Amino acid sequence: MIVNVDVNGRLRSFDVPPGAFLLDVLREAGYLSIRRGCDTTSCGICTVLLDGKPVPSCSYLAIRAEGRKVTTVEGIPEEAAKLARHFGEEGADQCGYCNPSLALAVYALKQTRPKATDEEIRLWLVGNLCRCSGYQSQLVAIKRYLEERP
Amino acid sequence: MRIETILKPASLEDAYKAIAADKNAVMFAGGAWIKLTLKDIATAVILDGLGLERIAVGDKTVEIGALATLNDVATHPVLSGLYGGMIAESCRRVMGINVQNVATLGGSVMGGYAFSDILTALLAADATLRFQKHEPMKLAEYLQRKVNFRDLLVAISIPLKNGRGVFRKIARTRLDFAILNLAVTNVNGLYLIAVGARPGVARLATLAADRLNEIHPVSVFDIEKAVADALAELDFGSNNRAAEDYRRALARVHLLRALKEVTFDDRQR
Repeated sequence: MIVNVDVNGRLRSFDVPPGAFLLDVLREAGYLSIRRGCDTTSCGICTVLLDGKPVPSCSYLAIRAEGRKVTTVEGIPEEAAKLARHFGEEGADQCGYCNPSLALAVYALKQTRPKATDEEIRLWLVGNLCRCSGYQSQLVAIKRYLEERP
Repeated sequence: MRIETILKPASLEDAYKAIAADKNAVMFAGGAWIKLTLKDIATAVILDGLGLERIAVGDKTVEIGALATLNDVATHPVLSGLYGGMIAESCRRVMGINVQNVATLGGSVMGGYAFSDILTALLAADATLRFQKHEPMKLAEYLQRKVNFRDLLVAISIPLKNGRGVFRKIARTRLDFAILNLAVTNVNGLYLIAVGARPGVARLATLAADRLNEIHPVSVFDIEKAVADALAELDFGSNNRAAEDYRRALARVHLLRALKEVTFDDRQR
């Protein structure tokens, strides 16, 4: 089946089997920032933005993305770099495995609620697991990122 | 997981025909946890593009399309305020934003999951299910039916009434399934009390609510009696999240608080 998707502003056509999930299709196409975590919709590691909204690509059928816009962290290099700087300054990451998905989720938060409170940030990211950080330093870094002017 | 064939029907009628013709065909609602529940699917029916994601506000009801996501519901201006935002809150308490963006109300209803937070809130909101072929049916009735019910859920209809509502989810972490959840509404002195994740699927405590509905005005004593009635009426059990006794203890405390909240103002509480 042919699926036409706008990936990071570039129209791509993928020939996929009927049951292909977005995660596998994007990784095979070279978007390697998207990672496989639990593969069961629970950990948020595979998050991509679909029409600007964070979704778990591991459980999203590729065919359902037909005609839609997919954003991976490769598509937001400047914002990802800004967030990475704050993460570095606050010691908010260790292994880095969850960083691309976290960056996308935080970027979507900035578009939706640029003045999010601590509680709103925590709630927004409850489905993005990180097994290294303990989350507190991430929260501080994310707040710094949200406070930063465009 | 393997899917052999995918159908994308052009209309609701075509979608219904597809699932009626093949009893093993699987309708795709949101897809959350699909890899946990199914191994191989011969035919998957994709319901995108049929208008099922719309939320329509009428004079007397809000019609939530079966494919409206939990986030659509959580952020909807009317649903955010209806019954104290109870339905919206139940959607916000499911996993994180990424799951809320794919999981749908229809998937939650038709799955009939015992852990569901949504079903509990919808029961207390007196929701009615609208199908492509079958007559509309109260959610409470649908959940109690044990027959094999195969139809396309089109919308979930919520009465637009001025009333108070409360939803509570008790879980070990924000990300976890509920140890217990409950929802209570009071619309002009008529109560609905729903308790889910007991660990059985959500149920209404109808006897407790009916007795409460006969009393005007309701006192704290009446509420305490209603809680005792609900605990006697509903079945509780144990699983790896909590023991039966613990669930009963939680239900006793949280039902009492919720019923007070929908009955009295702050000072009276």
